[in-house]
Amino acid sequence: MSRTVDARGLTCPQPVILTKRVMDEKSGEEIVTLVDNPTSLENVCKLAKSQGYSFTVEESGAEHHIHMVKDATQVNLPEATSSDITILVKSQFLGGGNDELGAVLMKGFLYTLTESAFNLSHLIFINGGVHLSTEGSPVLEHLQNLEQKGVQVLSCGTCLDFYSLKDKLQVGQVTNMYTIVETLCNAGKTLMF
Amino acid sequence: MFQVQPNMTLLQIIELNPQSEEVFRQYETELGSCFLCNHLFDPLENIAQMYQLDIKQIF
Repeated sequence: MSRTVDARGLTCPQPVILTKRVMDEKSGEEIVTLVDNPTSLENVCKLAKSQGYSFTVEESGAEHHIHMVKDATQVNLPEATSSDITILVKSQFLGGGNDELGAVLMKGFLYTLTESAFNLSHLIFINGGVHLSTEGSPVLEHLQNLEQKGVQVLSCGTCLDFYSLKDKLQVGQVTNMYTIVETLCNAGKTLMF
Repeated sequence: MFQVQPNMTLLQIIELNPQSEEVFRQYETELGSCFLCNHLFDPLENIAQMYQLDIKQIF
């Protein structure tokens, strides 16, 4: 079974938007998007990659048929049983009461994550949490370790701007609220500190 | 109420506010460059910097 998105005759960004709408339905079916220009082909392929889909392109005359399938590790897994964990970190301190203790606890927590076998997929830093992914952070080594193991480390751009840390990011990427919401909603499990 | 953030990509902005597509098309006409083809996945602030646009005016 597959879902077809007929984007022939449509100009950017419509092929991408229509394809994304089908992806957001999360039916697990293969998606086949039909386009008839190279720019739409390139952008739909970029979308596929950014949304974790593997894809192949079939040429049919002047048309391109882009066959997309969600990453093999997630195909046929009901959302409710997905083991991917996303952690949202709101502060550089773990817990409340004493910041010095909180800093020590956060360091221990992140170190333990590097040694654990849990399926952590995303680590998102917002508000004061962005102090952990930027220059001077005592936990950069642990975060770099996690990133090397495949964890996506994301820091809120608005927050980095607020604290004047945008050019001091040391690990991971800058993100925005749209991506943060999307990531949290797609996560199998979410933890928040 | 929807609020555009400078670090949102064009795709994200248009998804959240479809009417914004028309705004970007107007800029495309004025600048002679296809934003929606070439920069769909780029953050708005990067595009503004690239084309020397006033981001507040875009908002």
